[in-house]
Amino acid sequence: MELLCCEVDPVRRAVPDANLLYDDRVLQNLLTIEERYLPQCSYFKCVQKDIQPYMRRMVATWMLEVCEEQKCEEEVFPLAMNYLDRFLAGVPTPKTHLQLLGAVCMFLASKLKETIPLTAEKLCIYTDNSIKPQELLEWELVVLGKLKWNLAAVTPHDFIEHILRKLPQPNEKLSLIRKHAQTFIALCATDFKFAMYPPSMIATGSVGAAICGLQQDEDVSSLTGDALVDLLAKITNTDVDCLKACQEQIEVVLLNSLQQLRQDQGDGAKSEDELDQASTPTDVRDIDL
Amino acid sequence: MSDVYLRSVLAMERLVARRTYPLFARTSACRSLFGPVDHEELSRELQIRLAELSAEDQRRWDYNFQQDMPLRGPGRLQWTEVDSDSVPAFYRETVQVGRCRLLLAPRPRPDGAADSPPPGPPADEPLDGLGEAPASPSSGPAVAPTPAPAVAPQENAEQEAVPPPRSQEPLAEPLHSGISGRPAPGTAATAAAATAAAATTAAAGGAAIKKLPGPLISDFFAKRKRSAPEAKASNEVPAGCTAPGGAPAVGSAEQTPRKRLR
Repeated sequence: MELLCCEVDPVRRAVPDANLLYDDRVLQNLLTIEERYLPQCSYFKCVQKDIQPYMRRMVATWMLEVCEEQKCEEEVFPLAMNYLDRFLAGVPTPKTHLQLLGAVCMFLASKLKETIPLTAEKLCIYTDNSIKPQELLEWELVVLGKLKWNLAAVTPHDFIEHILRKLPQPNEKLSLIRKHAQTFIALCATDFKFAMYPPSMIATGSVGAAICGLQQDEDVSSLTGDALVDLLAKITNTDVDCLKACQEQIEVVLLNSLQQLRQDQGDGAKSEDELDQASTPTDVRDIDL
Repeated sequence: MSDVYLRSVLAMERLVARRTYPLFARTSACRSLFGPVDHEELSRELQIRLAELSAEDQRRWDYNFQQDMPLRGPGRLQWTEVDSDSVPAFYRETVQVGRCRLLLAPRPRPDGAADSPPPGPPADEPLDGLGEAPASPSSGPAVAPTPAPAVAPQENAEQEAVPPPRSQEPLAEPLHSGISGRPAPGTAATAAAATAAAATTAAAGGAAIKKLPGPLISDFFAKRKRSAPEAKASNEVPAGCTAPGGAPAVGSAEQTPRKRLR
């Protein structure tokens, strides 16, 4: 007996919905509501006593690794970081609970965005079994309550298609630009500097940085420099100077992370497949700045 | 015996990555970041946070969810009992039996409540929500305390001035603001009629499938009282960073970077 599985990819995707993408009201509404989902304060200064900025980076890096290994949808990681930041902006948390919180946030974001969500058991394995699935589920309720069940936060990814379709790029270049922009968005989510920036600005800055970066190797854009920034700023109604500054910051963060990566490679301790698994740094390496 | 082909490498990768395929190689991502977790401490913290949330709910709705009873004291909301016959079936209690959903008949009022119905608001105050809630589904379930739609503008202003109490999440009360903004003409008159109707139907009652002890949330309907200054005072969260344990910082002094301001 032979069984033949004809499924090409178990995840079926809907075709892009013209009603959502080609209607400016959608973009305008996203711009209107996005700031409601930002964390309310810089919590390292006022709320948290135990947690330091470098710890947020540690947990964020770990979450990104898990999301990549599990091949999560792109939005899952930034969304989970949004939950984490919003929770930490209100609830003082000891550092030993931070990884549990990160796992809970991934759990929630994955359930909201994915057809096959991450399981509690799997997430616990990723914490090296330092937490139990039962604890994850209990804390899920706490996080939900503290977030007032407002989970459908606006993320930078919500803006990418709206921005890309208004750029005068040849279609064949778009997928590369999109991929790089998504990488930048993930990079921004790991850095607390960007936690209180409106998602539209991060999205616009990421697209700008992606085009600028790619432009050096090949001709991906008919628009460059100031003309490009002006157009991008107009699309998301962002101030030009703010956008420029945001794009520069993204480039700085990218450079830092590249240096970090080279250092890690220099150490020689990291195995080759470890680097392969972290697809984001691999992408980042492809960009020559 | 059987050969199973998976046509695409991608499909295989995803199956391996997810639990659908019983393979899970431990990778470098499996790591404990901040050392061992004290499970007892975690559990204590959990209880504290859950108690916080429950207290928050109780304050927000002036309702004791553990005992399923409205709070007595003068709070932000005033609960008024209405007969469950007067609300659309959708808002009534049901029991699930197999695949069928049966409507529970209204339970008889507890003695105390029947003898002395909750004090009505002064005559000059429009009985806004009361007349509306049963009539139009859009105005929210009768079981939920609807902030009075037709309250004096002074109250609307106050609601805007005071950020959603105790909530870091700004979306906490969009429902409210939407409702309170809606004009509700002539509610006072219809409300008076509705009260009378409710009073008569309440006496009629109905055949109960099953008697449950004590009143349920669906037996009550709250309206917002006009006198809110003391509630306002108690709801106020100290601005900014000094928010006490768990109470999220509302209106932090810190300026969030916005699109126009870096």
